[in-house]
Amino acid sequence: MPGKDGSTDLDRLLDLLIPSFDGLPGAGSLGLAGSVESDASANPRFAEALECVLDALRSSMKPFGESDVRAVEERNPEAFADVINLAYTNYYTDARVLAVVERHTGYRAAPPQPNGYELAPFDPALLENVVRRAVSRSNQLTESDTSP
Amino acid sequence: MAWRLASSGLSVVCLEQGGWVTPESVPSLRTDWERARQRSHHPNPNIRNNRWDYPVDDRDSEINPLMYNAVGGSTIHWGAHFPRLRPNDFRVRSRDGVADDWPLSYDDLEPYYDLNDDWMGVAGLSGDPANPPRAGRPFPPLPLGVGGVRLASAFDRLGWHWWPVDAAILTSPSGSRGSCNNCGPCDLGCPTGARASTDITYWPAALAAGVELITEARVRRVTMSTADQASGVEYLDPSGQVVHQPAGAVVLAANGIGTPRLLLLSANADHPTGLANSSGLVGRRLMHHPTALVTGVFDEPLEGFMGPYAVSILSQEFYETNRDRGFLRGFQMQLIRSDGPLGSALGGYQRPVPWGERHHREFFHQFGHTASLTVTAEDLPDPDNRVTLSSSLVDNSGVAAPRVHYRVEPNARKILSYGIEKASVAMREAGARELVVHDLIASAGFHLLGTARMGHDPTTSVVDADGRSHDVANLFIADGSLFVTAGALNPTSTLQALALRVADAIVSGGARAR
Repeated sequence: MPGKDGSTDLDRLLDLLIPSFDGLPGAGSLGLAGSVESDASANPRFAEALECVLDALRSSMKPFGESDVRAVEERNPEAFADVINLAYTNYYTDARVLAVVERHTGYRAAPPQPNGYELAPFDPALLENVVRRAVSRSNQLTESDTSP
Repeated sequence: MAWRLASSGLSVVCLEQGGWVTPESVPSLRTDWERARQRSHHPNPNIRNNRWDYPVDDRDSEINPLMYNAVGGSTIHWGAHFPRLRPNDFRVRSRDGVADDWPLSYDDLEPYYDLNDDWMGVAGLSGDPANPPRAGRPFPPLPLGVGGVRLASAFDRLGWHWWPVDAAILTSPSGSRGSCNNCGPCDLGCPTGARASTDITYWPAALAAGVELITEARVRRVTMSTADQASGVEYLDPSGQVVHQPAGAVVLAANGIGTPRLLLLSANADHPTGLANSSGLVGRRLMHHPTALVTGVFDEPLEGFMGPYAVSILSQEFYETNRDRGFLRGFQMQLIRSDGPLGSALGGYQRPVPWGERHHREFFHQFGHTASLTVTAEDLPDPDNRVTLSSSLVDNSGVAAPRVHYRVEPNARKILSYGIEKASVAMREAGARELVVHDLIASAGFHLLGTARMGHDPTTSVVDADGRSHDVANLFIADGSLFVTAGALNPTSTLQALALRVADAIVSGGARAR
């Protein structure tokens, strides 16, 4: 049920799981509840896990906070892990989030294809030491096998 | 196999459980490509739940089997690491007194390795001192990446072997296939065609040679005309109709789980424990490559999200038996670059990023700052590691699913333990400030081997050195089921070379095969 600000329990949970960062609101305030619910509805296991965790949080009859979420995680580790999967999956495939990741890391927010990254040439000089060692070792080998 | 047979003038019908995967459908063209990796394109058919798949009852297995069902098979969904087995891998019994020797040698297989390399397209560099000489690779090696260069330098300082991997990935365009553009998630497919898969390598030539390919055909048993002669196979078409495909010879290539499943499903009055199973070994001796992972977290950015995730460098320093180590056989170490943001957050190679206030700090602390070494152990065959038929799980046609019983054998556990120690040494030498160790990757069931082994003796093997069943004269097997031992290297180039060799045996034994 929406709170006074229109947010739902799932919004609140998502904000606690993935808080705001670098101008981005938390995962709930970012509006990811809908995609989380849609994702969960495609898989009975995820749907049950989400329901289980939300039901457990609602049972306290008061607005829940981080300590309540940690208690639910401790009591229902498997269901909670599935909810984390739902939250992270929908957060880290959102274009707004990927743009922030790009800004901080050089990771490209665009899909991997069709542009990819530069394919630098291989530098054969890197192998000089391996070859030198192999020559030295082969002089010591007594059998014809190819063990390094 | 199909190409080789048809090119030799045989009439070939190929029944494929899946359909064609188009380049336009590749998830790496979409922003949410990592969601696909977790859901619709997960390597585990039990999670992916694609209508072309069958489920695998893996409740009794320490490693979850992975596979893909489509034209191109599991090469649709692979990392394209393309090493060959080494000569000693074919004579483990003679050298180390365990397991069995293969009924053929590296030299027997070498021309087929070479032929297969030409078809698949291999980037790499000849001259690896740990392996027999081989023809110059037609495409230069992939760049090692920042992490690969770091680890290579560390191996050098430790005096350990390393070499750029052979990869079935083109580093320059060839024919209709483009060049690799270093994008990363090869497993999800490759719209440029740089990463090889048999739907774009062998299949166009096979179709041109006259092979009839029937897709979405779910084979459920081999049919027999006499006790030792197959008459064809029975399959279900997409509408559920049962169709009989007659054949003068039947070749099974359904992977190390699908092939024994079909043989067990084909039990009849003459073969009550399964077809071709007078030895009792159909489904037994299942081998994976038990894999541990050591991930180093570095202060410097390694940009591991760039470049084919599974192919950079490998080390065979600890590959052969050294009895002082307390185990037999050995392992390869293979550098894995890193995941995308979602995979990193979920902790595929590293530690899962915690939720809550620490989330973003921990995410950026790890993302793009990791490199991983696999410890890929040789798995010695154990008859108790096996594929049977599930009594409780069926595919979407009502046919019994395979059930997998698998435990990591004690020797492999010792290898993993030793290998973790060595990979940790390498990571520290490379400058990792923190290590994350995965003792055994349960989801590393990508190599399915040994469940219909080849051999000279019909009492201790399922097929002969040509892949022909000892029990059914016109039944052949051409996939990873044939492996006698697993080696500690990715098996695709070997199982493809074996398939080509089996094809030649069928052609040269023509009259008998028909």
